[in-house]
Amino acid sequence: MRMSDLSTKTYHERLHALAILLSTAAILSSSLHFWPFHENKIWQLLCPANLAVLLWVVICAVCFGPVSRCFRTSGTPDTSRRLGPLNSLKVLHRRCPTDKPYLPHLSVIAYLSVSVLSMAIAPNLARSASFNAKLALMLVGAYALFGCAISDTRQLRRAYGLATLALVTTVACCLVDRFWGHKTFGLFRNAHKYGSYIGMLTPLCTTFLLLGPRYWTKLLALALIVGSVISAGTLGAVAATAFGLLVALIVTSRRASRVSILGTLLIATAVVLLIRTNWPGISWPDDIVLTEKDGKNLRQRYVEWQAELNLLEQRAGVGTGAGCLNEYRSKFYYRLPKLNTLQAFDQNGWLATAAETGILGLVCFSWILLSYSQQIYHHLKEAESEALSADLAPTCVASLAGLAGACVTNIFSSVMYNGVLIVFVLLLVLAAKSGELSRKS
Amino acid sequence: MMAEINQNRRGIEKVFACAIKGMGFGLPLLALIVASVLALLTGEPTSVRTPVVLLLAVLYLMIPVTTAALVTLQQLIALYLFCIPVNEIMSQSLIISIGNSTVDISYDIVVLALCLGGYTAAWLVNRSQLHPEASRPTVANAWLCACTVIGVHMIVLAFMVKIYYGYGYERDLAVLGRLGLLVLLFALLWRPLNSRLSRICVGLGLAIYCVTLLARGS
Repeated sequence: MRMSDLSTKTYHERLHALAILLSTAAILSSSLHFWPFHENKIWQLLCPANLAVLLWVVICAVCFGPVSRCFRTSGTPDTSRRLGPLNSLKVLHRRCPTDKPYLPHLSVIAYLSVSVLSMAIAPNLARSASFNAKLALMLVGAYALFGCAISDTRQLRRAYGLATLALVTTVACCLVDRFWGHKTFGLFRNAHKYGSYIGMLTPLCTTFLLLGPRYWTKLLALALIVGSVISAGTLGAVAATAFGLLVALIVTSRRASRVSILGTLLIATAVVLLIRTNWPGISWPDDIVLTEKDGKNLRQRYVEWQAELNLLEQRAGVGTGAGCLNEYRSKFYYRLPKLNTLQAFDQNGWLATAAETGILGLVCFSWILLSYSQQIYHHLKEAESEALSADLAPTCVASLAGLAGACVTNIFSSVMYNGVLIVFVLLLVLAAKSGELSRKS
Repeated sequence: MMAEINQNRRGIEKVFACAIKGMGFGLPLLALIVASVLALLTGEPTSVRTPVVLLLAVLYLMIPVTTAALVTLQQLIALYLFCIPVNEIMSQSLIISIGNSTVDISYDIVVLALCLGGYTAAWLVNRSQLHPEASRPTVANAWLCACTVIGVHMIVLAFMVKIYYGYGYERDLAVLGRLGLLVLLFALLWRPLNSRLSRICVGLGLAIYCVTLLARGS
């Protein structure tokens, strides 16, 4: 073995170790959301999760650029040539079965392109640019980071474990806060953002835990479902959890797994009903009360729906510009009362995407969900006939459940906003990697 | 003598085929030009605030790409660029007075008719190539999904508004009309935009539109 190969291997290992470290930090710190400086705009951009991703992008772009000699695979050393971040990653993944494992699917790039193009329409260029910068950082940077970190089955399971840990932290903090604290939503302080976060992670993590072989994981899943439901502030989080688990119930082929999911769902429902009769602190049923005063219930939302749909009448082709929905929507309520108390991130994600980036933006967003779901579903069906390894079956089903949860939670609030977007990207990477590794196995 | 007649016939057929092919390419381009000119002539304030972003996108369309993924990306960008002048004229129409009655022709119809003409011409030239691309069915599925999402929301909204305020959703037809227009534009333009020359033409058309906007200053 040549010296250059040895040093290349060392750099591969270092880069991979760094990716694991930063992805761990990003996943775990996502549970902190913007704590402790919730209102600080700079902190919202440079919160630990975003910072970890940003650090990864900078490291790839700067530190690993000049060391092209270490990444050489053949020929004489050439120190004059800089390796860009993508080439560095390509070298890192040269043994990977797919061509570009660090890049997201074309649909993600298409969505990002349309979103960036919509900056031309935006009345507030600075806001739109900031929104797109965060979007690009997550959709490309975080995707590359998670894609590099999850290189094998062990790392994939580790990522699920970290996501579960993040969810446990978030739910525990929220429960403590609701029982003894300020009656808000823990570190998130907002029912909608908290709902989006747990709406995506609860089906993902609990399905993974339920399909595992050990009993304690099933008990943990039950506790997480109950904890999520009683701590949730919106119907969306509960509906996302239920729908995600329902999808898992349908797609899983093993009878024992189905019994496990169904049994847990029934027990969780019974426990939640029991708790609800004894503790009035559960707030998500208020979501269905349909009063117009508290600024967070369903009635509030469909007023916003009408504003966003009306907006399509005039701006269906191009939208209002990414991140600039609030500049326009108050003009489109027409006969309905202008409640206008929901924030941008509280909007229906589907309609907000259509209103901000036009129908083409919504098409690209739908394409993202369709392509990743189809990919994982086909892998699952192909693998069923070939007896998929016990390690990968839960990850495939769990990622599909997570994507289903994301679709539902996007009706009640947006998954594309800063602080929650990282979880959506993690879902996409987990779906892609579960499929890729199942094919490899 | 017969050989000469056959040769002449073949020549005429070739010229005719070229003309039809030219129409397949030219009519959508004419649609873009018409939309841009109408958008500029109406005098309404434009929704384009930063034309430079669009000019950068036009530059990207000029880059020759070979991989299917990048071609699809360029097609989507070209479609978005096409939608910009179309969006400007969406809510406007041409009013023609004939005697005591007036005829209201929406500008959208003009653009759609031109695109439909181009599509039909292309279909006449080569019928086999106008089927949906088997390699990328998910883009068409995504359109279906997006339309379903909008449709379902409209239905739920109509019920909710009816129950709580006593009247239905009033703008449903207008929104559905816009949606239908864009779906038709996608269906008619997706295949022509597969050609690099078409994408370049769309890019150049938009570039002229953006430069005019910049020169006009609004």
